[in-house]
Amino acid sequence: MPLLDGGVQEGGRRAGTENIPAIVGLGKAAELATANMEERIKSLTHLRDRLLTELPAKIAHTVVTGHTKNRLAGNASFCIEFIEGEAMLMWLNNEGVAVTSGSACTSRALKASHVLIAIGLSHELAQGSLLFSFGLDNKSEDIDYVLKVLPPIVDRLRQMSPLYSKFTKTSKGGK
Amino acid sequence: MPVYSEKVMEHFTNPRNVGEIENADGIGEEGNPICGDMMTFYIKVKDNHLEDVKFKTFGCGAAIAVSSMVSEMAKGKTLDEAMKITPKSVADELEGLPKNKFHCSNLGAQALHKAIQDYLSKKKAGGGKK
Repeated sequence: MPLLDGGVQEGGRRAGTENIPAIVGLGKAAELATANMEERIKSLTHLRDRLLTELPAKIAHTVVTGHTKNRLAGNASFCIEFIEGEAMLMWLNNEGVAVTSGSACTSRALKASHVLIAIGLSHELAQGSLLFSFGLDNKSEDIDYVLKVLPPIVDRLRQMSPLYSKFTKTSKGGK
Repeated sequence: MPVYSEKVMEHFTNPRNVGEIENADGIGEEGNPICGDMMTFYIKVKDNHLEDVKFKTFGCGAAIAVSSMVSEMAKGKTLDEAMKITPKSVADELEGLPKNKFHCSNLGAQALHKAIQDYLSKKKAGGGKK
């Protein structure tokens, strides 16, 4: 029994009519997206590069995941050592920053990303994954804001992390 | 992010008894970074009561709230009473936990029990100085 049936205009394979407004809309959206693409890539790359260089400089034991240059213009991802992603998300959410700790398809899974494990990160490091996506509305001030609110959040969570206290005890004064 | 109860959010944002106890009478660790949650409990025992309870936790919002709640529930209790704290009673006190967080993140009671067992076995070995 086929799921869809009929429609001589569709060779009997599918009932219904093409969604003309959606087809036109998608075409227009693609046109608009490509029109300013160069400019958008430039401004997004600027935001991305700022975060990729300034966040690890502000927060010790932060690893950039993925390539520093050969990556999507609006994407910056990190692993922050000794703490777990969701706890960071909850605090960031409180501060009005919307980010994720993994891809949409893993957001309900509790295990670390298999991709981060496959590129050689330990489970505990991969658990501290943080992923930023920038869009048209983001400005340089948004990066300033993240650089201001994230370090104290990391600090607070590290203060309660048994992994961090083990680290500081064994490395003596490592910050 | 999962939807947490108000109580969970309250303990997450303002966790009680975070820290370590120097010369703790018992230490218990549960979980590992592979599951994403790990808790260490420290206890100080006096007259068979938990005089002080502290914890350190690596993990999600639920794990932090669970640890805080367990420390609060355990403090002042006798060892026997504290051994009766269960993941279920902790989740109930927190007004519920999301289903997928119940097992992985609800390790506080086990970590506390391990700390108590650690104390008891040390006491046995050391001839019971307390």
